[in-house]
Amino acid sequence: MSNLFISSSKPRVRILSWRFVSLVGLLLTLASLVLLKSADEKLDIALVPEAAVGGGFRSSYTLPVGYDLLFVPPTSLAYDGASPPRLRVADTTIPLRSAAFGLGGPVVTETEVIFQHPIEGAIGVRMIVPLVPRQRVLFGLACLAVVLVLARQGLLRPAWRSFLAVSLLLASTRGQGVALMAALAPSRSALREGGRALIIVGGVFAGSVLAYETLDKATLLAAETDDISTAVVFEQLRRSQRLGPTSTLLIGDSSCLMGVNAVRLERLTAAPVQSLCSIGFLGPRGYARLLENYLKRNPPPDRLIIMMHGISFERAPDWEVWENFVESDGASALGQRSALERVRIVTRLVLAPPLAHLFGGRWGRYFGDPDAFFNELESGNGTTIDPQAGLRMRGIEAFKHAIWPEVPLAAPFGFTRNERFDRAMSSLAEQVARIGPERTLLVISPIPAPYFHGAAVAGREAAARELRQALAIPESAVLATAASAPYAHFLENDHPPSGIPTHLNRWGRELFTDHLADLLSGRPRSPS
Amino acid sequence: MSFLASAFPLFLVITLAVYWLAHRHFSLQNTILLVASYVFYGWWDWRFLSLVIASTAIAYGAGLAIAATADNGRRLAILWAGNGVLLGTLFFFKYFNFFVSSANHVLVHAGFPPSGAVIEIILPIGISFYTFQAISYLIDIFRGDAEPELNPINFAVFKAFFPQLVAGPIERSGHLLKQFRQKRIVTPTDIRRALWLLCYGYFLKIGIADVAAPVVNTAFSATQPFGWWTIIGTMLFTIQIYADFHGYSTIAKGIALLFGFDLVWNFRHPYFSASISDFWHRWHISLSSWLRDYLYIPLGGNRVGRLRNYVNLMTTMMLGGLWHGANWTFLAWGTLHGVALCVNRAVGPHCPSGSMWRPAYWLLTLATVMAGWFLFRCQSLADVVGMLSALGNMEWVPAHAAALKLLLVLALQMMALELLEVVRRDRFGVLSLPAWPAAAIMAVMFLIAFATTGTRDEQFIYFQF
Repeated sequence: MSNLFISSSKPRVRILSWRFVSLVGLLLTLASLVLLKSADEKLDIALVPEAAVGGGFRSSYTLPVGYDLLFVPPTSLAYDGASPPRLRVADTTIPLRSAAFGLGGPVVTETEVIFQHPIEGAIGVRMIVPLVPRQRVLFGLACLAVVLVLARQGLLRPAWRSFLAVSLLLASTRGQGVALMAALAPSRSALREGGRALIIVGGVFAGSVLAYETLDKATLLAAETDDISTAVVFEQLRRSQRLGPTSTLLIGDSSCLMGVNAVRLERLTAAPVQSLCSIGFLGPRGYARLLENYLKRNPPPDRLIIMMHGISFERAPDWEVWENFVESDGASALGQRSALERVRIVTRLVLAPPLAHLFGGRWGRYFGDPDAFFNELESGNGTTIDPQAGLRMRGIEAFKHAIWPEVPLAAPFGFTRNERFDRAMSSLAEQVARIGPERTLLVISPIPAPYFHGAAVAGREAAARELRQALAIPESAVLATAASAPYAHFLENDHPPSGIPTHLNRWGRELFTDHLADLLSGRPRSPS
Repeated sequence: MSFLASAFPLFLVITLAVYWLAHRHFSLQNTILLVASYVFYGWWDWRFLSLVIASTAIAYGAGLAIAATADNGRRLAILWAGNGVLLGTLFFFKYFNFFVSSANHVLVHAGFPPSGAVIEIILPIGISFYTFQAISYLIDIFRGDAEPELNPINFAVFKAFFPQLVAGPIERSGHLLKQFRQKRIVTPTDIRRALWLLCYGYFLKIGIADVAAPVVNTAFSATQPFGWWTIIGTMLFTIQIYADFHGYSTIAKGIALLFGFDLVWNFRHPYFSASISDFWHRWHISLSSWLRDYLYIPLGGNRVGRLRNYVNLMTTMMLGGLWHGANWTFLAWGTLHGVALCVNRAVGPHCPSGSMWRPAYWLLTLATVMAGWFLFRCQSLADVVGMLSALGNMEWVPAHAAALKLLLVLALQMMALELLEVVRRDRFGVLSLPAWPAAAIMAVMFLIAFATTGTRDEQFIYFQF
């Protein structure tokens, strides 16, 4: 037998001879080179914030080599200015460094892209960039050179020839890892396990590509998400599509999601309470979509409470991706996936479900992975805590009696709205009209007391009036909740661009919920 | 360069091809390996290649000089000089800032102005490993246990052999150096074993250690408020550090095998130990045996009085702790193991296998080892205090359930593979299975590693040592 792939009794399978495989590999390699050249060196690459690898948002951009890179920043960065916000890379040459190698996985590298913003200055963002095809081609050529040199020297045993040929083929088409494994299996005995393992892996890969098409978007997105904002919006979107009828329905931004305890409110008001509160990026148009989903399956709730923080009254242009997110039922977040990525997602779903990524930082420390977060959100009737502060304090009584340091006055908060926000309010007004203005209540979230003085007082009143008018609800619909709360009731530094803490901490949230319940029950008392 | 760098497969394929092209001339093969090893090390930072070369030259020259003289005093002087320079270099790069800042701390507390300036020093990767390898070579020659290597190429490649250069195992001249003096033969069985070792090693690193790493990073923080994170984080780190280091050592052994070399096993199922002394016969074997042969036994070992024996144990383990780095937490880790070994020595021999008390011994040993890993993982004593104070808050939050689930899955995967080796009494236990089951295990390992590639980290924990 001259070749591991050739049976002497069945010469018809000579199509698997090492010469043929090498030839195919060579042709593919050359084709890759031609394609690269004809594409004028435009490489279609995906730039993904490092934290979102394996999940979250991802967008593809065409990067013309040698030109400036214009990049829409991640949604977590808020910008004012022209639409769309296009940032120019300070350094046109993106340094590729510390490339990573995954066994047969997508070959990617990390890089730091510097964005120059006219207001914010330079910002460095860690990016994951798939390795350019050129390097794979070079790898294929190197393998080819090795095969030729060894064959010419007469040093190659048939088995080596076959496997180096397979290696060349794989290198020119797929990941280096598989190619390496093939190259390292130069004996018949190594084939015993290695070859069979590759057959199993190949079968699983093929099955995964097929399975990907049959999986629903929700499952796929849940498997990929490791970003808290995406997880919140995604889960509230799902809840809006499955919730049953409720008496009180909360809708709004994260100051509502993490500032009200729906379970506690349900107990205090003795009526079912559910929340579809999400994040401010979603905005009134996004909230309207969630309400629309809810109303498709249920009668209008007895009471709709819209709760928003003043900081979300100024919408940035790139927040539109979040509106698209809910309007496409999450499909926009999935984006395009290569075959290998699809395989990775499916194998992760099947083989490694407990190995889901934890959220980054304190979110991960408290909620763990998306599944745990989804359960937590469900058990909290759609609300949860912000775990970034107040966790060492054990119990609300201790919190109430704690002595907090004096905080000096800060610049008064603006409550400024922009046109983009006002436009989005019309969608919400439509849903409010469906539910009934008389059933709708508006809550403007409290801000820390040091920010509530001077112009902030008038600003809040004006905002409440204009929001009420935009929603076409009566004056009595604006709940007289506390405009401010002690600084210690909030998280610190949860919103660096403006410096104002927007989320109540876990105990501030409980106190505000009690205050809200009192107002709903007609028993107003001082929030403090 | 790391075994996980994208350039590494290309590097390995080219090196293997060129190496085996010269299979008729093993001295030429050594030269090829030396060049490849220097490329491998220089890939990280070529400037520090000079340090490897200088260390090699010092050890080579000192080795020849020790062998060339019969005068014991002169031999001893050369040994001290050679080892002094090697250790001095190690001290400068690894411990200078630690001692200066510690001294300054003490002075400031005593009311004096600080006397020394901390300077910015980059720690060269693998310096502890190749320095210890050179020291053992010189001591072996001094003792007459080894002959000096006359061929500088052979010696240089022994010092710089790339699979074990940056994180061991710390090879002795009696085992590895002699392999460079003879023709290499790689059998189909070797290839099969190498393939398995690579599969196993990469799985341990990518599929286990790198999956645990982000969760451990989340858990270990001086400001984190939950006691359960201290406990679960420590347990996960116990798995992570073993999978990371064992993974590296296994990949190194597999790669060396492809070139026809046998590296020592660095681990032997350490978490199955039923005593702390048993643990040190199974964990980082090349370092523990180094410390035993070149530190503990010269100090008198256990051939002295009980008290002196305890002092020797403590000294050995504390220096072993400091070998890992200039940090009080490493010293605390070494001290803990020293105390545990003294207690082990005081209360008697190991628990006999088959004893009904064995599970209790095993649990106690594992708990001690975990307590050690807790100290080891903390970045500073402030972290230790912060994490321990979090034990006052045993609130169970959703993340704990996710982390516990992860812990169980990772532990079961590792335990299953190790048990297979133990039950079949074969380090290549998987290869002794019928072909299809073995293939299925390898395929699942590959697929898990593939599915979790999103969390990979190119660096291995022991690179920093």
